[in-house]
Amino acid sequence: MTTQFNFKSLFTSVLALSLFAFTVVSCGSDDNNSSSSDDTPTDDDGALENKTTGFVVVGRTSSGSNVVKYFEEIPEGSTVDISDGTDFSGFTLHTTFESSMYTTRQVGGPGFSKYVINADGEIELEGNISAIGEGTARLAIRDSQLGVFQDVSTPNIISVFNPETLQITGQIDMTDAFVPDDEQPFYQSFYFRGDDLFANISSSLNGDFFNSFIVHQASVSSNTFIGDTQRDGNGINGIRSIRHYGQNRIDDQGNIYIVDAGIFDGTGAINPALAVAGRLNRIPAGSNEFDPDYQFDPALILNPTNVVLPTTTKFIVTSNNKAIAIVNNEVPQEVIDIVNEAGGFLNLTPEQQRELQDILFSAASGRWCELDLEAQTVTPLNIPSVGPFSFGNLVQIDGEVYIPVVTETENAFYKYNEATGVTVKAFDVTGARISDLVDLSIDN
Amino acid sequence: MRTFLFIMLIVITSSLKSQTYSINGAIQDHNNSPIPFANVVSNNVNIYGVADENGKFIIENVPSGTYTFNVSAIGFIASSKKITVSKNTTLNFSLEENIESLDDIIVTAKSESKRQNEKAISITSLGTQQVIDRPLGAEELLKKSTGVVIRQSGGLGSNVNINLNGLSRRAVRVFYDGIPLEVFGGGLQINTIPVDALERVDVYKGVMPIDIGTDALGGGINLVPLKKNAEYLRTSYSSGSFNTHRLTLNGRKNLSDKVSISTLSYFNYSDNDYVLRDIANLSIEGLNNVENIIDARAFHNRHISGYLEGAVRVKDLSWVDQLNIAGTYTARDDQVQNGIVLSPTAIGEATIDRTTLSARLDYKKKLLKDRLSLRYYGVIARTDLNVNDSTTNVYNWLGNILAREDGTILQNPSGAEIAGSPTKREGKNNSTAHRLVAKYDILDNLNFTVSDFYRRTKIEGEDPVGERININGQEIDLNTVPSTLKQNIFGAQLEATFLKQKLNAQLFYKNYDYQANSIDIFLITGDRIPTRTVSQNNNGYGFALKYDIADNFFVRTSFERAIRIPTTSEVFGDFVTISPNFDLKPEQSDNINLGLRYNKKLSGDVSFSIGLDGFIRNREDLIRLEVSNIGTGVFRNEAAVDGKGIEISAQVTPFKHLQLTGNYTTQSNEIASGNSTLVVEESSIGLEVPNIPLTFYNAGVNYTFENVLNSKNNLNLFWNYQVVKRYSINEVQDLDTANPDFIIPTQEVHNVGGTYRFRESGLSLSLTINNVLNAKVFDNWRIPRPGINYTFKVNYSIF
Repeated sequence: MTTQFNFKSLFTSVLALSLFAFTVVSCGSDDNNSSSSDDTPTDDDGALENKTTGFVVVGRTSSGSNVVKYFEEIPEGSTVDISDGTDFSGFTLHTTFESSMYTTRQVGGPGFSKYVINADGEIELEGNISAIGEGTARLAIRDSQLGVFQDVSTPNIISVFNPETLQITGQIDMTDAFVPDDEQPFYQSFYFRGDDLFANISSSLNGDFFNSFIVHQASVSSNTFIGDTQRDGNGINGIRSIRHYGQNRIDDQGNIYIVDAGIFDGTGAINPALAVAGRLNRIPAGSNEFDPDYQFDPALILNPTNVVLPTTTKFIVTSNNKAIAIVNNEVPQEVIDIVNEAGGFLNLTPEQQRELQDILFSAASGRWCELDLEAQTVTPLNIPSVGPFSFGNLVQIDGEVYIPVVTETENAFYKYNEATGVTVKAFDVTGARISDLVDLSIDN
Repeated sequence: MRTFLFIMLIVITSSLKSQTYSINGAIQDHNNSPIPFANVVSNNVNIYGVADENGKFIIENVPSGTYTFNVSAIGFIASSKKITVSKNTTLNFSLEENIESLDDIIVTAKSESKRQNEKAISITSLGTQQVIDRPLGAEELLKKSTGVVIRQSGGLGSNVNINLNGLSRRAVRVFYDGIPLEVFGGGLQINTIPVDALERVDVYKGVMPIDIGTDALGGGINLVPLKKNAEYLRTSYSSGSFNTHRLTLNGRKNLSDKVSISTLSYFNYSDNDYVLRDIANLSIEGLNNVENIIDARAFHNRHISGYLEGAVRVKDLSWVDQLNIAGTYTARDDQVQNGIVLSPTAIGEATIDRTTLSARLDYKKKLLKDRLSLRYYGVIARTDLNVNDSTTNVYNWLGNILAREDGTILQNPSGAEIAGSPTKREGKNNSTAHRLVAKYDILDNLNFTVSDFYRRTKIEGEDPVGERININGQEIDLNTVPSTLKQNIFGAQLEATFLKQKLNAQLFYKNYDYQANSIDIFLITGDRIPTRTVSQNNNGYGFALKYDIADNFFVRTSFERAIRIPTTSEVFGDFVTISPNFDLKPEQSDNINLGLRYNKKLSGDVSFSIGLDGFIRNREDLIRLEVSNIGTGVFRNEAAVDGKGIEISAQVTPFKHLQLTGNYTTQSNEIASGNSTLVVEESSIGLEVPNIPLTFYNAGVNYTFENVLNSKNNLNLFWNYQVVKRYSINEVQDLDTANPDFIIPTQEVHNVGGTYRFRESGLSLSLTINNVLNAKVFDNWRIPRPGINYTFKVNYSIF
């Protein structure tokens, strides 16, 4: 009897303690929820909604991994440390749409990932688009029902998907589009103009660069190929292009600008006559072709003698027919010294050519500039010079353009007010080299 | 009368003196391997001997009579024999291992392994003798060493990454009999060699002896092949999960007392068709690719490899003390199932196979009254390497070729599964390596050693489906343009002992000379494919000290300024996306070791030993691939890393038949400088280098039942527990808050097994069950290792 009694007592005690603990935990949990729900909207089921405002700073560590950190407010005037952000092996951002960030997929295989910032300010995977081809890395979104990407396993197909469901809804067969030597295209970027989709080619799938800068056009209303247009180079060397983040390529008149980076293998240094500068290629409103009369080569305008590396990168159209981009401006003194020592470009040894290329690619010879798309003028902004292929992407927030500046001594976002023409430092970043700034409230 | 008595005494004494005899013999273990340095003691305290390194002994001037000889060696059960000596007598002993110390592979008998372990340079020597009956590969042996983490990309024969004291890949060199493994053309790999084919595995931690070392930043691992002197013939066969079969046949036959022939051979086959649990598998539904989490059995993971060696040895001739000439044939055939990370699609057709023919010559001679020791070791090898990666098919993990619902087969436009473009490359590598070591005993306690290692490798081939470059109107295959690599590494060392041999000191210098010739991709024009030669010369140096505080207690320290010469591909690029960097400097590391060893035998069967080591590995000019945001890459010297760690190893024998072993390693590899001059990269300073295990340990228990089923048979049971604590593949501040998607979780593996040895017949049976708890474990990020699996092995020593 005694044993039975003790067992019951023990059972009762444990049960009571368990109920008490459960109650405490439940209360605590409710408290937490209510605390959050004070500030954070819930959906119809009462679940906390993801953040629709706020800012995300993405950085890259010295080991090549990325960190991603969310801020409620843009950290104006301060220094923020992002080293304690969420780590990713890679975080290549393609676009931000309806507060979701679309990146190249890092976990599980090729494809794309859709991330959100949850109610706790933590980055959270919303879903994936599975692709087959390793190296698949091009995606853009037009609206909540339509996005496109290229799976390199089917390079002649542009897949159309629904960003809400991440389901593929259609395909555009681009087989008839022109690619030199009948190679397969590796698209660099996708840009929308209404139902028109423009896709510029970076190279062949095998990595061969073409002598022409080629843009394919398709219709996303009929999922059909429309045509192609191209800018010819010198017929010898490959024209290169750089990945540009987001959309923002259309001016007030509906002209779309697709930028190439020119030839930057040093050809211009050896033979200036063969130099091909990076160009803003304009496809006028209502047209599907590059405007042959529009030849805006910002690097040659900023410095007509810069035939060594006359490239333009990181381009977005802002407003009032203005744009912001990095324009390579200077020939570094080290390069001049090497050329002088050799007795001219034509006398450069192969070793000197390689050394020269290394310097050109890494020197802080690029200037962030405001470009006037109509007047074809180039105005350097009053911020430190950066490398011509410097990391970081542009974003417009409240009428100001946030510009990444990564130099040997700085790692900061500056902001440029187009109305006032004033540039000031917005905030410094420590913990990782900056690559992206995202405003969750802006589709980009 | 006195004179007579005196004369008689002389005669009798002389007579007695002339009636002495010699006793010679050999001491071997049950596998007929010699047991070196065993003590042979009789019941007459004045009659005794010590076996030499070949297990042979001779005791002279033994008067006639009856004696009981007792033979003892650490790690073996003592044995005694009673003999009557009335003539010159041969007395052989076969000792049984002290099976309590089956796992005592780090601090073991006074064997060569033991001697290596007690050198001033920090070496962990893993003898195979006491685990030779178990179904193990060399990589399993290494997993029991402190400071070593072995990571494989799959099952038997898959790619192996060795992490030694925080350094991995090219920083850790692997040698076969002192010659870099790559000279043998890739047919030999650390996880294809069964323990049956090895004498021991020496792990050089940070400091390489001059008679082994080539360039190595973090040390090296020397796989020492089986070198038995006595006649023997031994075979083993093991069969296990995943249709795995391994066969070995090794033996030696003495044709005379000076000439012998031997063979060393093994064959491995495995389908490696283990189940990969909880992996994503792709299928096609309409326009969409759908992923489902499944358990999939590997379907294209077969491994076949073999090694056949025939050797002739002559010894004790006027011109040579010992000469070994060996010819080997190595073949390997691998299906490739996955890349370095797991994808929802599988690799279904790519294969890599290679064959190597090689010849080795090993010459030893002592001169100048044995004060000068000469050794020449030379290898010549030719390898045919075939890579077939040329399909447009795409496979899922069910082994199906992916197709749309209308039957249209998906095409992989790159035309390759593991390479960027189709390849059917047929490579032909010709390698030769030569090492000459001369050691001179200047004084009894002072010697000087010089070593010179020369290696040349020529790489060429052809690829019928590879890319072509148009030169003078002809489509040229770049594979047909040969690349060559030459290395010459000279070393000199002074070694001395002081303080009644308690203090051993070594001072050494190394010179690394390197020359590589390959295509200069920058200079290719429409009418020529130029090649370029890059050469470098670097110096390294170091020292080692060891002090015997007591017979059972020593402390040692060593230092080396270590060098790793850039590889040809790092200098010349890959001719596609990686550009050359002809100015690439070697990686350098200051390696420091400090350690102590203590062992104590408390009473009859109770003993313990402990080793404690600390290490520092401060590296600079580390070579890393810098990928630009325009898609190209180049290898550069950039980062610096400060590494340090502690290793503890211990064994306890609390009573007869039971042995407990364990070791523990914790290490840190902190970023000391970023990969560029950007000030922001200072933020990384002090963080751990990603993708390197920080803490790992293992423990083992052995128990032996004697006289099981038969009065002379033993059964040994063992349990082994291996743990690698979690770590991230990313650079992170804190593992607790790091993104779990990129963390390799803590790995815990339990292996159990037993060996039943028929003491008199030379037969033994062994069963090992690996991962007995069927834990989900990963060697690399998201690539599952096999669950529970078993291997059964039969060993038979014919004589």
